[in-house]
Amino acid sequence: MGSARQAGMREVVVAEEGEVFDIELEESLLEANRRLAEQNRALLDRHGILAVDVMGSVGAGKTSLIGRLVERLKGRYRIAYIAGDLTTTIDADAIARHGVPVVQINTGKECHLDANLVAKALKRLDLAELDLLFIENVGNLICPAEFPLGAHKRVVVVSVAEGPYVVVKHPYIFMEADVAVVNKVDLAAAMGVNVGKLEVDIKTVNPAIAVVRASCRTGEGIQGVIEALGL
Amino acid sequence: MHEYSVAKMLFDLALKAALQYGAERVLEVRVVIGELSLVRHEQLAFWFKELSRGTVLEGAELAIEAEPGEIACPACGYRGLISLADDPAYHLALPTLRCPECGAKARVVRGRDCVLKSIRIEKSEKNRGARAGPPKAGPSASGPL
Repeated sequence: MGSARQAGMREVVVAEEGEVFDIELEESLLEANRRLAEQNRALLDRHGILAVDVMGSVGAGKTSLIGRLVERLKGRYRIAYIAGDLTTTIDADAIARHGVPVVQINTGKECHLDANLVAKALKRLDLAELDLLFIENVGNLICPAEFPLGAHKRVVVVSVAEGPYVVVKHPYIFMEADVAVVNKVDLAAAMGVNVGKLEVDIKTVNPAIAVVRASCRTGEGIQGVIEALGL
Repeated sequence: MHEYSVAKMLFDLALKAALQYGAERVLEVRVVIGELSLVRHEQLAFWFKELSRGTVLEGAELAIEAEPGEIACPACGYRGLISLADDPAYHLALPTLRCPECGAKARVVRGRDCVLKSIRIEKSEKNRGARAGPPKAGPSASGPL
């Protein structure tokens, strides 16, 4: 790659300036989040806190489920709640009404929580006073799967209102989860959705996942979720 | 997945390395995209190119290699590509963690990550001193004739 320039009447050849180097990097994109997730987990373990990451679609019933769980468990555990949403404090306010400490994270435009945001939220809580932490992820069945937060258990909430194909269209998040809650079963007939088939789809993707059928509105299945989480 | 965020992460890492090694220009960026990361190559390339404008990364060739998804079964030791379950009800092949040998739940061991493997840079005479490591390829310039 030489070049030439004019100097008066004479062409001058200049030796090539560039030297080419290959630089090996091996930098993982998800490694940074994974490391932070491990740090969060270690911090929670030091304080003996069980953390549950609740994922699911927009409107599937994540906040309702957590509300029901807090209602039933606050007598036995010292509970706190971290909510992730693009905007507003609506979810944190709803859970705060149960009398537990809450932290709201506003992610801006980010469509999932990550370990960094959770680490910041953990600083706002008195960890010495807690046994159980519910972290509600942003409503999304795709992105949260890639970003572990450092929780001990991951729950996915899907509702019959999302139609019969919701599981097969979003397999990866079910691979990541320990418990799947099929919510709004009281609406299955109205939706024409076969809850049994949804359960089969979930177990096909992840043979080890626990599936619980529930209606957070009526309270059906909440005890099943508590047992599936080992609480 | 959100290709823009992934492109941004890759761009930031590549730019940092390029500047650290005193690059005048980056010729090539090699990345490995795991099949289970759900990142679409064309969109990734588009955003990477957009982000590169006006930087030493502008004009660099983005070489993308796909890494297949691989699972390992802790129950029977099976190791292989991720299984697909045929679902006649939906006429599709559904990725599953079910071990094809014993039916237990397998772990994903490969294919979830996106890795910036390497960059190929060009340095000028005046930047030679900024080099952070030995050169791997290329002729040396010895000044004007």
